[in-house]
Amino acid sequence: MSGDTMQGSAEAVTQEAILATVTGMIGAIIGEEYLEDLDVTMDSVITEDLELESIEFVALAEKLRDRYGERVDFVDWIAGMELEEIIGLTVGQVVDFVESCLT
Amino acid sequence: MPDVTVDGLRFHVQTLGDPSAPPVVMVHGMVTGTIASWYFGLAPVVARDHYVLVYDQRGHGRSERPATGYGLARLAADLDGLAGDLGRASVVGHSYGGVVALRHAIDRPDRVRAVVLVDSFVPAGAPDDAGADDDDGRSQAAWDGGGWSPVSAAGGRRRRRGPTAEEALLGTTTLLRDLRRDPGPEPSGLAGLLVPVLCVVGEDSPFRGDVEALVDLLPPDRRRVHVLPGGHALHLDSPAPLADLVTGFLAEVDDPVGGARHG
Repeated sequence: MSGDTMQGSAEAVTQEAILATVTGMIGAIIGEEYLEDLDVTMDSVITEDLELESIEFVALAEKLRDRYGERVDFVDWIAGMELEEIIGLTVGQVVDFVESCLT
Repeated sequence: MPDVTVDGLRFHVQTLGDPSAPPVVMVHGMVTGTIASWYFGLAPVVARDHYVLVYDQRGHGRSERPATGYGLARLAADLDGLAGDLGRASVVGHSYGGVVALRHAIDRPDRVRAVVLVDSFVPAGAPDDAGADDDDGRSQAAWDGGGWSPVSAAGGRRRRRGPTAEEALLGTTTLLRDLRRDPGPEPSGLAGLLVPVLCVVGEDSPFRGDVEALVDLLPPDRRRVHVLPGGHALHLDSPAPLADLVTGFLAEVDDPVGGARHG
């Protein structure tokens, strides 16, 4: 919830910072109590390890858009993927994608 | 803008694209469908030239789940309420979502520009299949709805949080009963439709006979029929050909002097 607000263009765009942001978003979506039991790393597979459902991917897309604006077009990026790619998507791929959009 | 209230019920809504572009609303199928049926597939492609509104139907996804009220008229009224500010919109529906679109086009011809049916049919007269029209399944279970995560993951979150959204929808609401009892749009209403209807049929759809029966009720000079490789979940089985068909059709039906809508 909090921490998702736009911080302007001067925000840190290090991988670590983006990972923390994305992890926070996932926690807000699935519930912090579940996040506590999970070790979210760059290698975590979003559907399998974090058990995000498709409808929760929509929520993640919304949070990314709220946070980063049009610069990070997560929906368009995902739309270009095969289903198998989406199901195998890792947190690290999302972080790298966000980083590539911001730098 | 994730939440919109219509007649006291809260709906999860997402929009894509430029709000000044011609509007398109997409309606997912029942039970296993959600916004996600479109959101990472057809919606962003269509949104390149349109303003796309997608929503979770009542009881589905992140929309509110009332115990009752899943008849076709109610579902079409939800669509009307959510599309109310868009002006004349094209409506794309998968499975029973397409039937909702047709009913809306009959009820509100002034608000509908065109309809796209993706393997849509009225599940009449099949007591056990009726309503579970998206539940053929298996090809779409992976994506179209909540069937993504490995349910068997030991000690997983899914296990601890109780029934899935689909189980709750089927177990705690009158959805299936309402759909079974609903005869669907009146044939006379369908025959009188004035808007163009693109009918996309899955070559291997288990519902192909029912899908074609619905097509037959549409006025021949308004309907256009295409068969694509795949089953009932064409948006998963043939995403690129479906996107080509739909965007081509929408480009044709969009008012060439469009934009007038916004003054």
